[in-house]
Amino acid sequence: MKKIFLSPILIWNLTCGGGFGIINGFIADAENGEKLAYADVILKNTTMGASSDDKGYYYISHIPEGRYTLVFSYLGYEPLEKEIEVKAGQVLTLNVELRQSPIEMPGVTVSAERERFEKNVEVSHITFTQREIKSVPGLFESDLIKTLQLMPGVIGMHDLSNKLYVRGGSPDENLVLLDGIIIYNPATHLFGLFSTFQPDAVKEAELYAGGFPAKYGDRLSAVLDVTTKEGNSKKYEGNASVGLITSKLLVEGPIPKGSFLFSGRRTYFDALVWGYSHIFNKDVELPYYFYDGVAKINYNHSNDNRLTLTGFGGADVISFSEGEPPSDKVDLLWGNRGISGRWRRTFTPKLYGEVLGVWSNFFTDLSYIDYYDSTANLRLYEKIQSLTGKSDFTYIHNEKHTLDFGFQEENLGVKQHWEVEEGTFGPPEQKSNLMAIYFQDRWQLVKPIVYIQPGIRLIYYNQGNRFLYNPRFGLKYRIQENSALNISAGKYNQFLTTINSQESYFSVFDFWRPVDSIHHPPVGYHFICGIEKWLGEGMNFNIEGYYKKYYNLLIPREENLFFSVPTENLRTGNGYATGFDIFIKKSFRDYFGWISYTFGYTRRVIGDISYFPRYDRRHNLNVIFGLIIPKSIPIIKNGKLDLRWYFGTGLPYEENIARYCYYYSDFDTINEYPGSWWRYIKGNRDAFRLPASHRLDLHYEKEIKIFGFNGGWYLDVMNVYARKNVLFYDYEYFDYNTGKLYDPPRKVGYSIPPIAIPIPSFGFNLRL
Amino acid sequence: MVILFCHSKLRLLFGTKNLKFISLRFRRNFTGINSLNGNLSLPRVYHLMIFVFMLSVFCEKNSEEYQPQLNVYCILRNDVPYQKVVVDRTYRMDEKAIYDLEDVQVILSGDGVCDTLIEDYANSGLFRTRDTFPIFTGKTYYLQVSARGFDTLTGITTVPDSFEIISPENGDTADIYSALVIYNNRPGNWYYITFYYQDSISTFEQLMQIVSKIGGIPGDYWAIDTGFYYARVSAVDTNFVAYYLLPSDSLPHCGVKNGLGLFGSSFTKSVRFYLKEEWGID
Repeated sequence: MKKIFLSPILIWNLTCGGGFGIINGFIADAENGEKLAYADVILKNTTMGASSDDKGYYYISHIPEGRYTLVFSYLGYEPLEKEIEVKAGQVLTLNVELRQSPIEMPGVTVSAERERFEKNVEVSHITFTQREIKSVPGLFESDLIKTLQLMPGVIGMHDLSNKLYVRGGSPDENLVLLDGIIIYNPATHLFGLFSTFQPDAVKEAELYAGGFPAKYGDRLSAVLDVTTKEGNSKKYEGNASVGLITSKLLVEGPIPKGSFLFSGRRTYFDALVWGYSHIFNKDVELPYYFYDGVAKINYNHSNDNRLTLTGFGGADVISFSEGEPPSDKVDLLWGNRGISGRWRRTFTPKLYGEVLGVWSNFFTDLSYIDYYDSTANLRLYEKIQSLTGKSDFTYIHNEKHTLDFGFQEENLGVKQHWEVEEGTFGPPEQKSNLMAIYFQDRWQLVKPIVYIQPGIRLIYYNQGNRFLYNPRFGLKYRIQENSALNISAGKYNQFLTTINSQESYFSVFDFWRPVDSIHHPPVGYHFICGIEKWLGEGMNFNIEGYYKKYYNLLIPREENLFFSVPTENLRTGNGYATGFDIFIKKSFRDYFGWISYTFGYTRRVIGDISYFPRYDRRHNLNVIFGLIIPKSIPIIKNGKLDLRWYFGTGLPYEENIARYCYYYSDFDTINEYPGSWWRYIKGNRDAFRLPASHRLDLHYEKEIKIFGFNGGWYLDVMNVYARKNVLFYDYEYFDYNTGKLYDPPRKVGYSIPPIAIPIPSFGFNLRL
Repeated sequence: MVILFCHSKLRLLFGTKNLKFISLRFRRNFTGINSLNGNLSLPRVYHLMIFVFMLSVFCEKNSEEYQPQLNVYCILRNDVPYQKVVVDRTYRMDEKAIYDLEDVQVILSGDGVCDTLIEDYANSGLFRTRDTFPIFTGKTYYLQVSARGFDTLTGITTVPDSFEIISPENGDTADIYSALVIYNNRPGNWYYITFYYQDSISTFEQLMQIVSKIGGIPGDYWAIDTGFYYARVSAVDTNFVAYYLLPSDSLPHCGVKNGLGLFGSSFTKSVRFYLKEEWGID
């Protein structure tokens, strides 16, 4: 074991009473300064210890006076020991840095995972690291949301869908955050093929599939909280990569008292086509591209004060013109943007927290310019924008009670306008204001057997002058040494709604509106109960049942699958979702994997009509396996191979059950039979189920040296055995290839992508 | 295994003692997970029971019953002596579209006239009135269609009001900027307008609602041929309008009940005029 750099700072503080002392501080990565969440700290040969929180902060109190050996450990890092002396009434602040370990070190019997298992009441909570996100096979590139779709309780509607349907809830019921910035449409790139998150810049992603704590609100189903990397505070680093679709660049490094990070990506095919057309004088163009970027600055004013500024922006752009010289031009843009400023402070060793200011925005912008007739010029613009101020504090009252509390105020505005030569028109901006305070107690009721987490969120919503309360409750009961019962219940309100259907296969983004004063805000109740089983380091088993009840859901009509409607045309409905998830995970030095299975049953009720929504999938199974190829296997040795197999039973759909002739105008067929074409009679919207879908994907990557720099290449193959997963049906009456007529018509299934073949993609990256 | 499943299910439902026994066994076996240091060892029969239970209880069937209906098409016209009615039915998706209706009877009545139509033997499903069946504005007419195995379909339509074509008059010379002027003392009617070039069927048709007139020869042309044009203007009833503006996912019950289709009516006038040479505007 190595003792590495550390900077002990001793602070004498008379806050501790009696003959006890306190130890606190931050744990970080020695290579890049990134804070290590849920690292473990124990006093050797005692039962005293703690784990660092999601910001890398640890705190141990009620330590009797004396000399100890403090052991810091974290999976994948070399443990660190430090001899300390604790004096009564003193606070010892010890910030340490751990060095990454290429091999697993023996002797570490208590890990961060184990610490979380024993003490945290975490129901329906999954955390992903960057490595796990990047190792899952993806279409052309790894993607965060594609990875989340492999989790229990989470489905996508088709092979290329990048929307999250969590435990029978629709995507608009999920709160998606990036460093506190609300992302209203997280899956907009390339018409829904890519999410707005760059895996290179993501440090970790937390998904609460239900029962989320009082800190989060304003959504009915789930919370996805994504944290970007902080940037390497030790040295300058860069990473450039080129894939089949995008090229990416990430740079990070130290600044005085802090660090910075910038990550950007852009598609490049349009540039290649432009170059080709100009060099070879060809009339071709690709009028589409997308880009996004994240920039982050951290400034450590002192050990107790840290400032962070995060900026994020991206857009998809379609731009084309007609004729040469152009006679007209069309531009269509849409994208997410946001800025968050965070001040984190440790007020006392027991009280720390942060204050956050956030601006979030999503816009769509369509313009048409006629260079010969300005009266035809047109611009349609819509945006949703929010300004949020929030604060989150943690007070460690004593060993038994840790209190979380905070405040939030959000001002939301939705604006639409269209510009023509005559002027600018549009409805008044729709605004809303929401204020909330929350309290939560993490209470060790009977240590180490029973932990409970009661909480409440009090809300004021100005539309309708509504005062609401959302109680939350969580319980962890240690049935035995390695088994725990987790229970969670809560009430959740939502104050935003979408006015486009969430059952569409192909919607790229959602149109949001604040819930107006006419409608009562939708409300959901969660009841979750599960068994968590600790099977050893890096291995756990979890089975969880859930029941969610919804009221006052605002549901667009089916005919508005693609187009937005005024909020007063939304229908009010109820519904419920129930089911259970099973999750088994194993991770070790050379391999990892998990199996997730979900059984779900979802219903919606509008008036007298009860139906299965289009995202009701009964069974969903994902099997993931990854390993490091042994040296004994030639060519691909020492590379990493990840496999993913997925199986899901069919989604409900509306089948054509009959056809009839629809006749042309009769005015010219006086003595003849009028011409006609077929129209269809549809059955009940959920009477039929599509066939089950399944698919095998693989991902292979290998580290190599490129011009003396570390780098690598990867290969993804989606749909290895060319499975055709039917998404919809159509009827053919005539085969254009053979000239054959079909009566009755032939039923043909269509999939996305249209051709069922293995789809390979590859890329390179270079670390500078 | 099926017997095991049924046996266990019955015991769960009907035997409280057995229920206790089952739950104790389950708990003991569940506790067995912990004592085996991480090895999952639920008896396999429980796995299978759960699996079969889920499949049996929640397996949705993939079918839906459907009863075919009659489908008719008829537009009563004042500019023809005999009226016609097209009779067909709906077909399930797995059926061949073969006309197989039997004992079909089609009856038209109204304004003191009644006619049982006869089928055109060259065109199955095409029925014509036996005698002339004149149509008059403002009158209401009724349709009844029956066939073996189907509910009797009924229809009702009222012929639209008359109108006058003010301009152009027969034989006039016009250009594309000329207005086709129609006068009707009840605004809001719908008109179906067709232009024919050189007395042959042309390509331009338009269904529109006019208050009192329309301006310009409808349509935008780069160039339009000179010559004689024939404009046929038909005032159509609301059933006709509903049928032709019907969304593709709606079913046509346009003037008919107990079936699908259209039973509508029209009142038609025509005018012939000469179009001068003139290049069109965009």
